[in-house]
Order: sequence, then C-alpha cells, then structure tokens
Amino acid sequence: MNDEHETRLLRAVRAELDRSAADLDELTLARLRAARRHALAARPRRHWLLAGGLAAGALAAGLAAFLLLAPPAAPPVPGLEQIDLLSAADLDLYKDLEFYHWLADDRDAG
Amino acid sequence: MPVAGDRIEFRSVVKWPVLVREDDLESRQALERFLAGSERRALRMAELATGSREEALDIVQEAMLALARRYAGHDPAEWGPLFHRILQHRIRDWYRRSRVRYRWLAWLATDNDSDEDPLATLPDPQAPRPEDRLGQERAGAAIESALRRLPWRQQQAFLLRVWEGLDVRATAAAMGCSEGSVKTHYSRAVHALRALLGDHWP
Repeated sequence: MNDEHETRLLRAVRAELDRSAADLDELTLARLRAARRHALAARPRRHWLLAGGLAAGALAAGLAAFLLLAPPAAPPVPGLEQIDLLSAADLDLYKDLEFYHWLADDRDAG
Repeated sequence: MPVAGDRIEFRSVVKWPVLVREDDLESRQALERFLAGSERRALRMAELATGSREEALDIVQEAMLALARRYAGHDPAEWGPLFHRILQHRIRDWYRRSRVRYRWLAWLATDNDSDEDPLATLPDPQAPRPEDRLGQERAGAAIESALRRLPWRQQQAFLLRVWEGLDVRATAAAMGCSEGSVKTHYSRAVHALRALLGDHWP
C-alpha cells in the first residue's frame, strides 16, 4: 500500500470515528453532561481564595488600626519600693510640718 | 476588591451570598467548553480500549473530575495534553485491573523484546471474534472492529496521533512512554489496520 492508499485509509478511519462520536445516543450524552457538571462543581473556586484574602486583609488592617489608634499607655505604675519611699518622705513632711510653719512665720516676722 | 462586572450569587445550602468574580466565571466557561468539546472523543477512545460503554463513561468522568480538581487553574492551552494524560492513566489502570482477570496471558510477560510494555501486546479481551467479523459488511463496522482488535497501546497511539492530532512528543507525554515507543506503536497500528482493512481500502 502506497502513501496515497494509506492516506485514504486514515481519512476513512478518522471519518468513521467522527461519525461514531457525533451519533452517540441521547442517554450517553446526558450522562456525559452530568459528568461534566459534576467535574465543574468540583473545581476549586477562586472566590474562596478571595474570601480568605479579604479575611486576612481585614485582620491585618484591624491590627494596624489597633496599634495606631489605641490610647497611649498609662505611665508605669511605681514599684512597691518607690511607694514605700514616697510614703516615708510624706511622713517626714508631716512630722516637720510644725517646723515649716514656724519657719514661715519667723521669716514674715523678720 | 469587587470590580465592575462582579455579581452576587446565592450558592451553598445556607444561601450565603458569595462574590463571584467575572474572571472566575470566564474560567469556568472555558473549562466547560473544553470538556464539552473533548468528552465525546474521550468516550469513544475509552470505549474502544475497554469495549464497554459503562467502563468508558466511568473513565471519562474520572478524567474530567481529576482535570477540574487539579488543573482548572492552569493555562487552558495545557488542558488538552493534561486531559489526555489523565485519560490514558485511567485506561491503563483499567487494563491493569483487567489483567488480573486474564492471568492466563501472563506468559506474555516473559517476552523481553526491547522496551516494549508487555501490556502493549495484550489483545483486546472485548474484541469481536473472527467469526463475528464475517457479518460485518459495512465499512464503519469494519473500522470499529479493526480498531478494537489492536493491542491497546497501538490503538491509543494511533487514536491520539490520527484522531486527536497530537504530535509524537505530545502523544508520548500523554501515554507516559518514549517517543520511540510511540513511533513503534503507531507504525504497528497502521500496519495492522492495513492488513485488517485491506479489503475495504485496497
């Protein structure tokens, strides 16, 4: 068989295959459509990725807003030692309060 | 962010509104067009390989599902080779399962001829018997019969090359074998078809 015959043979085979694919019965076509729909429904959807991205973005924005807009932190609470010192100084002041009054009166009198 | 053309659809059981992007819809439509344009030929290829429409439908459905799940986001130009590769894998899996049922042909595995896959020499268990062919006068039936009589590796190489129009390289990628094997399978298929169909196309 030469090339021309082979070409004719291949063309005939291709035509027969095309015909057989075109002539599928309606039940088979319906099952193919159902299989296609099933496959399309199973494909990963971009909107889930979009929702995830939006959620992550919102979280990051919220965190940034919190850090930027939160009120300034209160001054550090003095330690117990400092409280004791201050208390001691206050007590001395109260003890010497009579002396300070006398000093002031004496300065006014002088 | 939503852009012009986006729309709100109600999906899922709880009917939450879901933002569906326009490009996602286009991607879905493109995949649907591809599958719709490929499914009939895929079914016929699987049917010729298995000899069963039911088996072929299962194989095609699995191939569609695998393509959509794993490769829907790929360049649509890649879908064709990927789909054929998946389809060929599914057909090969089917043949391997069938081989268990035809253990009496195990002696073929002792044939160490070159790199040829022993499966390639398995005759189609669904092929019509020679006496059945006597009643097949129509050329179409003769072609169908001849294709079914081909060993499946030859059959698939022939179909991918002649019907799907894949080149040797793409056929090798789809079949998971070397380009040399594709050439061998194809050449043997054409030779066998010439012998089987010589009466119809002298």
